[in-house]
Amino acid sequence: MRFLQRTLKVLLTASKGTLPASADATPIPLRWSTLKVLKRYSVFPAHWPQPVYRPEEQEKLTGTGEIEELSFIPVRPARSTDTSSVFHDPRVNIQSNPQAFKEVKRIQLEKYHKASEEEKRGIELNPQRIFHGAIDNCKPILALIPLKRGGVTYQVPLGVTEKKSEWMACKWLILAARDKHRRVHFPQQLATELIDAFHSEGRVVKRKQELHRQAEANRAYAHYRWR
Amino acid sequence: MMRPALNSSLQSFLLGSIRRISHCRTSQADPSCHTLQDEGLFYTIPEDEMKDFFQGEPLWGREHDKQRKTFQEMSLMVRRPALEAINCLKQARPGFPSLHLVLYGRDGAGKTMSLVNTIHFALKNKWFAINAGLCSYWFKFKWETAPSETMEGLYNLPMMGVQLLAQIKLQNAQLLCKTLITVDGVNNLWYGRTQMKKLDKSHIHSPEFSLSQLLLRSFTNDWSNGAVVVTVDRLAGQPDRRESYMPRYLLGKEGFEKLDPFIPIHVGNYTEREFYSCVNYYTDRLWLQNPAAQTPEGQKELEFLSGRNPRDLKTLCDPL
Repeated sequence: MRFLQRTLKVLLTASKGTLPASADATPIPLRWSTLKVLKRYSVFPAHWPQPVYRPEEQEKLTGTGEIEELSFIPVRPARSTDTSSVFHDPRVNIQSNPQAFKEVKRIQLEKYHKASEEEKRGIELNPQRIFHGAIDNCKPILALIPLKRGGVTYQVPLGVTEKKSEWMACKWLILAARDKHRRVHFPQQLATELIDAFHSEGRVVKRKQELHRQAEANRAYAHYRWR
Repeated sequence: MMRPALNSSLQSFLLGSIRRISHCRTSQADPSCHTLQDEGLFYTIPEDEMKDFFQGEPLWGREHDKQRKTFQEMSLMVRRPALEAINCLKQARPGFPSLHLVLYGRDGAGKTMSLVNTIHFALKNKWFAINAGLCSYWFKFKWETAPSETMEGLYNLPMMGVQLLAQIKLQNAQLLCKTLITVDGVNNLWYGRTQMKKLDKSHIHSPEFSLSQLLLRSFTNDWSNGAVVVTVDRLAGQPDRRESYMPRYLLGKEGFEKLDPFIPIHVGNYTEREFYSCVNYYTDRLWLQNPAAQTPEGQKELEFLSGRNPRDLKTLCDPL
């Protein structure tokens, strides 16, 4: 990104609105999309409040009168995934794959139509709920960190934060979905992994349990964390 | 040939009833009996008719074929373009020269499904049908070719030819009063240069295939007791010819003159009534699982985002 910014800067200072072309060629007009300078979210000062983009939260702020204060101070811009849509789910929008959700529905509906009347009640069809359940089942509570103590590297068990453990769960699901036959598409494999994880089965849940087992075995090293 | 439009009070009454009682189906399974009263409602093609008429390669896309398996039925919405085409076919008399109907419209508006509805009508009324399906399939990939023995200078596509003949044989077990020829994406017959090559290593152009010549020959008015129903498809055609979806642009001068005179039938996006009927159908088939999709706000959002385009609506509903 830094390279892109530098290039853009050079281009803009050199040509003032047109891309530098060879002397005999006609200048190519620079499009507005090329002019857009990319910025990371951290460029905004820490004291700027987060954007309020949900209608219900805005209503709440209006009720308490806090919206008056917010309207006169600089606020961070909303991210491209922040939307006021009724279908918005912060956890789903960032990490999910719409094609995989479709495949989840396909698989579950096929099971549903084959099942008897009593079994039908136990089958979850909502892909969003399956996704949340799968992530919750894959989230580890401990992780192993390599720490070098006395010339030996120990795998030291540590508690992980909520954010980190959610990230690990998503990463494992993605890695498991990538490990597939070449004829199977990624969304299809991700759908099967999500459904397996929702039922606390499958490779990703096994990986979490394996990690917990390893952490339990290494509990003697836990004190290396504080030396 | 157009039927009189429903008067506005009746239409608003019907729309109200669709919104109120999540009503999306008509019990009339015979396409020749559908009227404007059934417009926007779904009818299901019975399983035995599916087996008789739509065996072999599906006339619709792969995605819709998957959807058919998920929904456990083949349902079509009764829409105005199909009603109009069927009405035209009903008027065909033995003495008339062959009728030409061209379905055109935006991407994903339902041209293929209107065509399938028409084909269902024809096969049910014992027409002899030659359904070429999506002919872009013939020219977009590199198939095995062989020089034609009967037609000088032309090339055969043996695999495609066998497929088409098998389909004709399967679909026309019980026969036959009139002839129907259908092509999906007819602008492909003037596709231009294909990937397949002649013996001298030069590219074969799409009209140089015997299959396309046979179809092109049927687009004349010198035969009677039949009809040609075709669609023009922007996305199925050449990549450099995608600026408009209108028949004159997609067919070019040559193609337009070949099909002329024809009856153009515009396939538009869903009306409000059709949109709510479709949402109700998806709910009925358990395809819409998100509780927000059942609220008026959610449905309004879907309506706005899709612009009531059938394919866009389907894409939006996929992850919900």
